[in-house]
Amino acid sequence: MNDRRSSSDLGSSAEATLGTFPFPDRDWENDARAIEARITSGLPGSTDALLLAAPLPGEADEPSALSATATPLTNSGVRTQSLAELARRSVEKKQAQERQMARESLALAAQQRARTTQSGEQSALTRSNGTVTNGAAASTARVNHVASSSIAQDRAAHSKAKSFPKVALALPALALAAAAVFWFRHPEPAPLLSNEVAPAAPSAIAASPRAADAIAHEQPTARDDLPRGVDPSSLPEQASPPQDPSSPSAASGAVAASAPGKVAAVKPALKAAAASAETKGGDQGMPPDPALRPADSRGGELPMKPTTGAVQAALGSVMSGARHCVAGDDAASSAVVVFGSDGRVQHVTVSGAAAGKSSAACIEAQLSRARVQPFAAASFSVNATVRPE
Amino acid sequence: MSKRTDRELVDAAREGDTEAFGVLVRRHQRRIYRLALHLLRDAAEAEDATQETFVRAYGALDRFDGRSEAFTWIYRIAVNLSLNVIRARKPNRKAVSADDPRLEGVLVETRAGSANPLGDSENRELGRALCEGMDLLSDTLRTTLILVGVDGLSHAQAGEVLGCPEGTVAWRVHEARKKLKVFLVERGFTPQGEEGAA
Repeated sequence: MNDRRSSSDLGSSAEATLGTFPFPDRDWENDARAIEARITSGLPGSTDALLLAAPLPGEADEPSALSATATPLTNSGVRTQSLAELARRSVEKKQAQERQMARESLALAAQQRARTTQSGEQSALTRSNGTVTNGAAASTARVNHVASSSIAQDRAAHSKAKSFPKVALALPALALAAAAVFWFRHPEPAPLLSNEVAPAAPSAIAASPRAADAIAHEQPTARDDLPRGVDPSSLPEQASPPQDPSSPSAASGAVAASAPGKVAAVKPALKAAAASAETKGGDQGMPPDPALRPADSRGGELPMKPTTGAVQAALGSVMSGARHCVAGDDAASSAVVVFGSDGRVQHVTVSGAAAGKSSAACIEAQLSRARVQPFAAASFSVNATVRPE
Repeated sequence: MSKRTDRELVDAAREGDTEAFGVLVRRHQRRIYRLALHLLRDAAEAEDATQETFVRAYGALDRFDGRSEAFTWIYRIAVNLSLNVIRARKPNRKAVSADDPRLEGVLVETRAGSANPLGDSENRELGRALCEGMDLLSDTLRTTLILVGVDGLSHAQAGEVLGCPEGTVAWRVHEARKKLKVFLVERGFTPQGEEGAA
């Protein structure tokens, strides 16, 4: 038997002895009569339910994965649910953890970007309207100068701001004051900023050096993802509290104090930044190879339909049981087995000798246990012939 | 008239047809007896267990839901009854004696028509060693090995009897064979023929 070959071979002699272990002959007819005599006086329903339960506990070192697996082996000892699937599950679990870590770090980076964006938008808005006080004009001129420079120059400005903290602290304060003055004079400013003023982050960098450091190290090109639009209705609330902009907590407090409209404007940008960072992947703990991202690419790996070998293996594993259903029949029966996209049998239609008999239900029950790997098509049907034993 | 299937016999017996159940008894009593004999290692107990198995099966016919094959359902009852007997008796049978009923069959087989006394002797020793090795296995491994290795059930059928997945049956059979092989090698029975499959 193939089952025996799937395990450790004991050698031909021992295998032969084991497989054909004889037993002493008896008067079987006499035994059968004795049983018949007993059942005539037996009471249906009198059997203890424990005798119908699964008889034995599992072994102490029995692999639980095998116990949980429905049909890892066919009758021929061939694995239908391969070890590769177990390995893939393990990899998926690890990748899920990595994705979670990446999301957390992205959320942190997005928070920091939101702070810098807010400060940058305030100063840029001030500059675009042009009617500011002298002090504000001086500050926006500095900002413009820095904004037109490259990222390297931004970093240089940042290091310069570090060396002159008082100046760096004064600039955003002046910008905020100018924005407040401007707002009260012009309650309906231009709603959109032009693209060229978008990289106005230096003032934000000056306002929050720690956040700037984080961006410089984690997302050197993240400012491309900064939101282009600003809801001006949120500006009065931003400008009103004259907080110390040198404090990171003050910067975050400004974000927290901003109006819901402002949050709504920043939200899509954060999503876009997160999506962009996930696409870039490399520095966020995500595997660079798209094939190693099961959540994104698993759907593409599904075959349109199960392979012939998989279907044969699946039906082969249950065919023995189906044949028992028609034991004693003269002719073979046919069955149409329809698999759903999840790999399970959706329904079985029996025709031929067993059709209309109780054995048809038996065949349906047996063949319904077949399983194939999930596939992309809605369903897949296959004809099977069930021959009597 | 074609041979009635197990399911048809069960259906008929449910309707009160004891004759149909008698057919079922005659069809499966040998295998049930062999199973009980290997589990219990006692001919009288095996005979009782076989008889009791069919009586209990008849008493539980209304609970046979048809999801499994009738004979695996009866096998399960036989295994449960045999294990109950084993648990109830004292552990006083450690060694395989010459009158072990399992070996009695081997002796009968080797005597009939064999012209190789040396080979007969080797077969008897091998049979004895196999019995001893199987007796050292746990009830779970031993029962699974008997169902698959001795009685020839498929993994799926053994899984139905034991109420576990095929993969678990395969693992148990593999483990049982591994241990049995080690035992046989220790006894000087080196594997011949299909070596290297382990």
